[in-house]
Amino acid sequence: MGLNNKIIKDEPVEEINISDNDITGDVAVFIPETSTLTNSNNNAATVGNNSAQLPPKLTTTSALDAVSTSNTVSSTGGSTLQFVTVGDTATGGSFTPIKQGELPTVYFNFKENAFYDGDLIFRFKTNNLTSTDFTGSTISTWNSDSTIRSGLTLTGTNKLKVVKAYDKYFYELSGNSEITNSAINLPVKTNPSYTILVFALGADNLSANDDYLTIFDMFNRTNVIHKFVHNYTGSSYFNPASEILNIGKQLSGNNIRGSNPNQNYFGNFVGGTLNSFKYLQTNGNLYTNYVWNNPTDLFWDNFATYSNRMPDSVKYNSFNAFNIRNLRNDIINPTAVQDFQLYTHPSNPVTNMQMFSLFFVEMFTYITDDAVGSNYVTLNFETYINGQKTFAGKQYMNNAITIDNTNNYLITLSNKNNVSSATTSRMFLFDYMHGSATSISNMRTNSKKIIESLCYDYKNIFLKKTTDLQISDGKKSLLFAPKIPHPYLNMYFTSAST
Amino acid sequence: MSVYYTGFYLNKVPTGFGIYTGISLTNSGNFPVEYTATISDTTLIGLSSSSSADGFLPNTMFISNDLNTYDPQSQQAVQIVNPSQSGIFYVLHKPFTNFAAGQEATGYEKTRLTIETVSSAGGTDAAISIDITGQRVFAQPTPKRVGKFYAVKDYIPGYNVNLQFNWGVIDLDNYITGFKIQTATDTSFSSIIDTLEYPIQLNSNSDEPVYGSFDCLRNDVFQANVRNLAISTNYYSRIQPLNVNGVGPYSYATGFLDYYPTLNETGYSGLVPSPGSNLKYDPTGLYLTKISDNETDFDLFDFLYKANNNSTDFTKYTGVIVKFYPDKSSMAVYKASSIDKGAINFIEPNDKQLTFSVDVNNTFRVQLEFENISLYGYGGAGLSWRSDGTFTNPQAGGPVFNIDNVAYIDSTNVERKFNYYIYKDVDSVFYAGAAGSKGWLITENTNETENKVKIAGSQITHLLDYNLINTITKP
Repeated sequence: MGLNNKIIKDEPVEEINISDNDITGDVAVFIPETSTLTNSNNNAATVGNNSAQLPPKLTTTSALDAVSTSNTVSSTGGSTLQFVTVGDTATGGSFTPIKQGELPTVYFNFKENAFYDGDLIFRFKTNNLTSTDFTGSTISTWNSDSTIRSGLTLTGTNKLKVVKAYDKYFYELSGNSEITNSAINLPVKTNPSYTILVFALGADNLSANDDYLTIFDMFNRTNVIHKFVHNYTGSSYFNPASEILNIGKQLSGNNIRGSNPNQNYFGNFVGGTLNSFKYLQTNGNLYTNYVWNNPTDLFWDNFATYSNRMPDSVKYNSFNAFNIRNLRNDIINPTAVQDFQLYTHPSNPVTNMQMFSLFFVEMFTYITDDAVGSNYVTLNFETYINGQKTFAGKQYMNNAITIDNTNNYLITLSNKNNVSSATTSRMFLFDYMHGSATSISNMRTNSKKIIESLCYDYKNIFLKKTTDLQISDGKKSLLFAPKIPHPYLNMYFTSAST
Repeated sequence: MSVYYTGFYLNKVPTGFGIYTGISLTNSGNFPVEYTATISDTTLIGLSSSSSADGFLPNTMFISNDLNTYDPQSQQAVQIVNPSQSGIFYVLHKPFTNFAAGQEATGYEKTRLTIETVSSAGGTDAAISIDITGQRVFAQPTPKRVGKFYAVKDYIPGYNVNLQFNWGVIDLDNYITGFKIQTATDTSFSSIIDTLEYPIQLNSNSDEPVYGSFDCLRNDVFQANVRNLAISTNYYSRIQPLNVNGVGPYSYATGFLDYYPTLNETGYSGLVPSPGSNLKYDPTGLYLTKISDNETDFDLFDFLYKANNNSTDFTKYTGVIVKFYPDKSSMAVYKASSIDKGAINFIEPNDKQLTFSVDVNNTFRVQLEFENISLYGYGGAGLSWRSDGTFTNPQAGGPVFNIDNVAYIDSTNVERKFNYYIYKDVDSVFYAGAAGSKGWLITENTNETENKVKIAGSQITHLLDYNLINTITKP
């Protein structure tokens, strides 16, 4: 409720939040506190006051809730009030209008893009995998892209398997497993750097037939997922062996998941060669000498559920997840749901997954000269997931500190899920890379171009198609509903038919 | 040491043509030298005034510093040559042609060239005398191969496919009166659909050979067109040089889409193997860019129409690719002004019927690529109450794409149509206008007539990005 209430309060009428009820023109109502509807001798005045207290926009508690198209009756104080819907149902904009009884033939896809990889320091990728790699056998190593830098490996004995979906090959990381390397030697970059991780979480079945619960559950089980840190202890507060470790802070309990399901600490993605206790300004006390941002300045704070339960008030914005299954991609049967189809072995039948959620994580690290005191500079960390800013942190560095030319880094990608069930979390790996840029703006631009290019590479995954997605033919069109499969699609049409 | 010729024969020249030779003089001294070449009157051996139609036997051999401009009346040319440099005098020969009837005769025509030398340092050298003999023949030798033969494929509205042929003469001693270009639809040239005769125009200037030039037209560029050919059809072309005694070897055309192509050595020499390039003209895509920060009711039809030189004839193309970019903004906004409009509109006006070519799938591909573009359909309106208690129904939202189904049935009963391909980048958004919602009437059952609260439906300007992104969020 916090989401809608806040919007209603803050926004003018024309920018209020829209649920799919508005879009379809169906009726939905948020019934205000019934106590204001008490019967009295002056019903008209009471009801009129109540009406004035109604939010300017009627909205549901959730877009997913069932909508009512009939009267809603509320009984208060022995009297009955009727909420009667009035008027015809209007429709939202269709993809194409009907002209002469026919729709045009329309296809959709991601725009072709490529990026310059000369600024990358390393890359682990999957777009080099082919059918010959798709054996169904487990393997132990993800090797780095030799054209960027060869010889780096992420290893976990028999923890990886090449899988296939829609003619794209990628890795599945087994549950309760990790691939790691604690001695990846990298140049320490003081110029802005970026680390990009593309992964997916999936489940064969939905938990309680609910996308959100399933996604939350998946993260609750997979837990840490990513670690990229200087393999240097130096302090009990900073232990690379800790399960979760972010920019100088070892979390109590080595666990990112909260005991309460509403504590979704998902913003733990940080990666960079300055992520080291060695470079912190500590003055002997880690807690007091680095500064965390106030997450309320994140641009989508309206929607964030964040927690301050972590030690030292570290706050993260949670991020939402999306289910590619929600994309209707069959023009022949445009309202049918198509599960995500995964192949794990050349001779095994397809696995129909009810949840497949793709995450593009951008982790930025850069230094700015805005710290208090001339002896310090600020080390900034930012994380974006699927284009949404989920974390922004700062800490001080002593500007006289000596930066090493190279260090050994501990990199781990992990899936802590240890539960075996149809709703359990499965993790898939697509791309992992690290690079640097000459400026902060270039860092963002480079990362943007990479994300654009990767979206094109993974277009089959987004669309569950090996070809362009046909969204309209002579008689009907697909529906792109608000329940969108991924934020990068950013499409909304109602379906149209003759 | 200088080599002083005392005499030489020029090659045989058919009457009506011309030839030249150059005489190179090298100054091996230490000072500039002025050379003066003087050519005598031509002696036409075996001919008399009665041999000539006008009783006059003109000079047929000339001296010149330049092949292109010369004065046949002048029998002298002067050059100053610096030390270690060379100068060239040209001797031109066009055999006697003005025979009296029945007096035609082959034979020799000769002259004496005298070159005098004066050094700028003073002093002279002995004059050089060279006797030059030209040979007049009647037989025209078989023409030599034509070179630089290529065809530029183009599509000109009103002419359909056009082949612009270009060629040139690459050899001396090549006596040509015309060319013949054949175009066939098969590689063996058994189905010739066009034969183009290209006669070389006779020179009206009597100072020139009747045909061509003293250098056998080697500096001339020839050009001819074959028009009204069919699109997407195989064509092959070849050229032959002609004269009265026959035809020369074929040269086969290389095809280009560029009017100023670069020929390789094979193409230059006319040695492209048979049958040459397939000169089929396949319609191609029209590539356009639309750069703008703000548009309302963007008319894609009009944009394409104007980009096609205000023409609805797209038969030159089988598709069009339009790339949309913002100008100065990070995101461009395309909006619709009414429910009848889309953010992008492609509606074929009644008075502008499109014609277009299609690919192998019988479709014309309209590919729209959006980079950092927000497309918003027109938002609907909620139910509104009137003062008398009646209401206006909620209004539907408008489309983001308002696109015609452009199609027709061709003469073979095959449907040819537009297919649209919409490609977006990560940031571009396509949001149709949301519908307005119904209204509400709150009543009390016990006393409905007095106690009604009328609530209008919501009015939506447009969807916002985050509305959609967060719709599955639960608290």
